[in-house]
Order: sequence, then structure tokens, then C-alpha cells
Amino acid sequence: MSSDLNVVHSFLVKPMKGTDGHKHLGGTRFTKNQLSAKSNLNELFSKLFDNAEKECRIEIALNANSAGAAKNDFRDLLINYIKKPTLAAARKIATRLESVTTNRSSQGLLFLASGKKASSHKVVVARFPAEEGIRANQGKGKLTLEFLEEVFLKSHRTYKSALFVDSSLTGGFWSGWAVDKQLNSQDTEMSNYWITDFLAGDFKNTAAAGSKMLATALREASKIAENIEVQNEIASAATLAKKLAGKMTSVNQFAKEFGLSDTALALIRKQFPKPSQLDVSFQLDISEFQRHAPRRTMRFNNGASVSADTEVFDKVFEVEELNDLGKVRVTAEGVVQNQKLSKSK
Amino acid sequence: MNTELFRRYHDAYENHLKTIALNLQDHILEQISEYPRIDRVTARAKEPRRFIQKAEKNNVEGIKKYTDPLNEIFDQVGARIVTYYLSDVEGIRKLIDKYFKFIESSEREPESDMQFGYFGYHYILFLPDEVIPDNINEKFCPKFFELQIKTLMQHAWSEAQHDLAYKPQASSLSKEQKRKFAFTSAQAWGADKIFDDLAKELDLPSVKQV
Repeated sequence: MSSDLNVVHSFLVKPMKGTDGHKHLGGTRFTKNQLSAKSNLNELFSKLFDNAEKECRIEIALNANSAGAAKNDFRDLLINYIKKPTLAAARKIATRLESVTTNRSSQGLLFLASGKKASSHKVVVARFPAEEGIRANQGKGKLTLEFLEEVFLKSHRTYKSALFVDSSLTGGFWSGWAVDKQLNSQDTEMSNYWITDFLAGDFKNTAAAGSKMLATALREASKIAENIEVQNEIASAATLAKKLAGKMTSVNQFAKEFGLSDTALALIRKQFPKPSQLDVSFQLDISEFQRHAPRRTMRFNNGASVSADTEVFDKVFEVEELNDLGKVRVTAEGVVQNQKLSKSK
Repeated sequence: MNTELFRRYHDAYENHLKTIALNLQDHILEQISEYPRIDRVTARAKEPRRFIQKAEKNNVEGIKKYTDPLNEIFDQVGARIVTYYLSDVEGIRKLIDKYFKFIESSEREPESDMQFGYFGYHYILFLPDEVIPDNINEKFCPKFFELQIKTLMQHAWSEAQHDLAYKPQASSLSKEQKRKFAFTSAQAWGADKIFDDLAKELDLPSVKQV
């Protein structure tokens, strides 16, 4: 096992939403001394524990209880487990998972891997979903196939994991990181149960805060962009943002999704004094994004300018190309609601 | 006094907590800027002397209340939003819930409905990553901060009460002095109610009119 990993517990968890889970759920415990250094299981556990920081990239925060007090049932179970990593303490976490898993999920194999990271406590909680599989054995001149009813796959699209690292068992363990490959699926019931129901948590960065941060950065980048192509590029990305509505993203992922140029990206990055902000994950709240997104403005060399909210610009203005030199005619139809006088600059 | 704890907290206070408080003040103001009746937003880092006083407090059983004060005292950085009327507190709370994550959210009021004293809304919120300077190791930063939302009346009462009641000579207030504090709280509470009624009658907007 990894030198920092002390113990692993595992349980076969069944979907039992609405119940308290199996009271006497059988589990198993592995310690460093039980597994030979070269065994496959040893390697799997070490990877699960050591690679958790790379895999779990979404910051999560555990919720206060329904009365608004600093109490969280999952956190209580987790801290009890860290204090005394017994099969009984681990079972309580496993039965909690059973009690929130609906019949739409297959049964899964839950692993709790507990150890240290420098002077902090570290726990990885991972659920491998069950799948059907076939084992192929290549013998001398013949191939035999064996049907396997339940194979637990880490790479499956419903694999879920969470990582918690903290030095304090009294004031800590309120946040962690998670991976949930179903997060961007349309199936909210399936994707919510891991973070919302089991971990009793939520994304640490709220959808509104992240969406506002992204929209404001695009708006400010657009303001300082000297090149009209770059302004258009940013405006187009802001218009297309609705494609990502409700999905997890980050500033860097957003830029990648819409293929923003290096120039545009550099201007956006300038808006963040702290580079780590560029990789902060959040769920895109499209109405919040649009409230703060750049207004698209088209300025002409004759002093005229037209502007509209980015998401409707192409609907309210018709742009007709008049020649190859970039001359255009822009038309809009509507009832004038007001006119404003402002300083020219 | 725990000198090692004092030294560690003092270093944090001088090296980054004061900067974090300034950044946090700007950050909160930006997140609630659309709300019309914000009197002020302030944030401060808890002074080392006050931190140690709190860290060394005992609970009712006479046992130290905090076993790991640096991780258990959540108001090392504290912020306050002062607004005009009671119904504004609700409006501002909606924005706080939208942009921040809390682990505690509670209305503070005297235990008995027949008492007057401290009123206000308190949160323990995750400290946003963007307020922590890039050159600071987050391991040494608090994870949370305390946010209080108060009306002007609640703010005025708590400032004066804090100034008077926390003086060394005020360690044991007389019955009469306690009643006077309760009376001023009741006056502030009454003024808040009347202002709030007026604000509702006059239908004040919940967003800034541009």
C-alpha cells in the first residue's frame, strides 16, 4: 500500500433509498500488513488514495443542518471514522450511502481509504458501480469466455469519489473535493445523490458567484481589447454560453470550449490576480451570467454605434455586408422606448 | 497566557489576516452592490489580544472551550453589513445565500421573548478563495469568516453597548445598569419596527434605481 495509506474498508452497497440501509452490512478491512506489496489490490488501493487529488477536482462544501447550525451528519460520521477507523464506523458511512441510493443505480462497491497527508488526515470515499462483463481466457489454440454478472469498474461513467484532507478533527472537514462523472448529465436525480444526498454537501463555489465572476471577466476583457476581432470573439463566446447552462465549467474550460484565441484568453486572465481562480469549478447559472455579461456594441468609423444584450444582438440587428472592405448596413426595427444622452468619453 | 498560540496568531494577523479583511470588505461590497440601502460594509481581523481572550475561555463545566483555537475560532476575520431597515436584512441575506456558502446561519436575539439585548443576523461563511493573497499559503489562513447583518439601529446599539459593557470597570454591571442597556435595546428595537413599517408603506425598491 501507499506509505501514507493506513487502512481500507470496503462494502457492497445496495440501492435502498428511504430505508436506513442494512444494519448488519458485511464489510472487509485491509491494512498495510495484510496485502503483499505487489498484489493487484494493493496497487489499486494505492492509486485510489494517491491519485485522489488529481481526480477529485470539484470543490465541495458540506451543508449546515436544516436549522442553520454548524452540524452535518456526513461530517460527523467521517470524523468518527477518522478518529477510530473500525469496521463499525465505516459501516455507518456505507449504510448512509445505501439509504440515499435509488433503485435506478446498480449496486456498488464502496471503498473508504484512510491515511495521512503530511500532518493532515486524509480520507478517500469512492464508489465503483457494478457492471456486467466477460472474462476472456486465451488458452492453447482456444479462447474461453466467462460471463461475469458483477464487475466493479472505476472507469465507468457512474464512478464517484470524494476526498477530504484536514488537520483539525474539531473545526475542520467542512470541505473537500469530489468527482462525479454524471454531473454534466441531464439526469439530475442520478447526479445529485452523491454530493447532495450522501455527502450532504454542495459545490463550494455557488453557481451565481462563479457565473458572475466569469461574465465580469469577459466584460472587462472586452472593454480593454483593442482589436475588434478579439471583442467579437469574446462577444460570440458570451452569446454561446447558454450551451453550457447548468453544466460544470471554469474560466479555463469555458475558454477551451469556445476556442478563444491566446490574445482573448490573455485579456481574460488579466482579470484574475490569482491564477488559481481560472480553474475554479462552478455550475453555470445562465441568467446570472447574462445579467453581468458584456453588452455587445458595434462602433462604426462614422461615429455611430449600436448595442444590445449579447444574447439577443443577432436577433435584433440585421447586418448586411455592402462590400469587401468591411462596409456594412445595420438595421433594427422596434418602438423607441427611451433615448439617453451621455458623455462621448 | 499561551505564548506560542499568541505568537502564531500575531504572525498571522500581521502577515495576512489584515490584508484578507481588506480584500473581503471589497469583495462583499461588490457582491451586494445592487442592493440600494447599504450604509456600510466593514471587515476586520480580530486583534491578537482579543483572540487569546476568546481562546482561553472556559465552558460552563470549567473546561477550555477550544481545544484547537486556530481551527475552531471562526471569527478571526469578521465582517459587518449595516443596512437601513429590518426588511433589508432579508433582502441582503438572499444575496449572501446566492454568492457565499455558509456552515452557520442564525438570527441572534435574546433568549426570552420578554428580554431586550443583542439583535442581529449572523453567518459563518467560507472565506472566498479570491480574498486570500496569492503569496499566502492557504494552510495558514482561516477557512471561515463571520458576517453580521444589522440595521443601523442594531449597529448603533451594539457599538455603544460593546464600548460600555466591555470596559474593565464594567465587569459586574448593576441591576440598574443592565436595565438601562435593555431599555436602550428596546428603544432601538422599537425604532427599527417603526422605520420598517414606514419603509413598507412607502414601498421602497429592493434594487438600485439607475
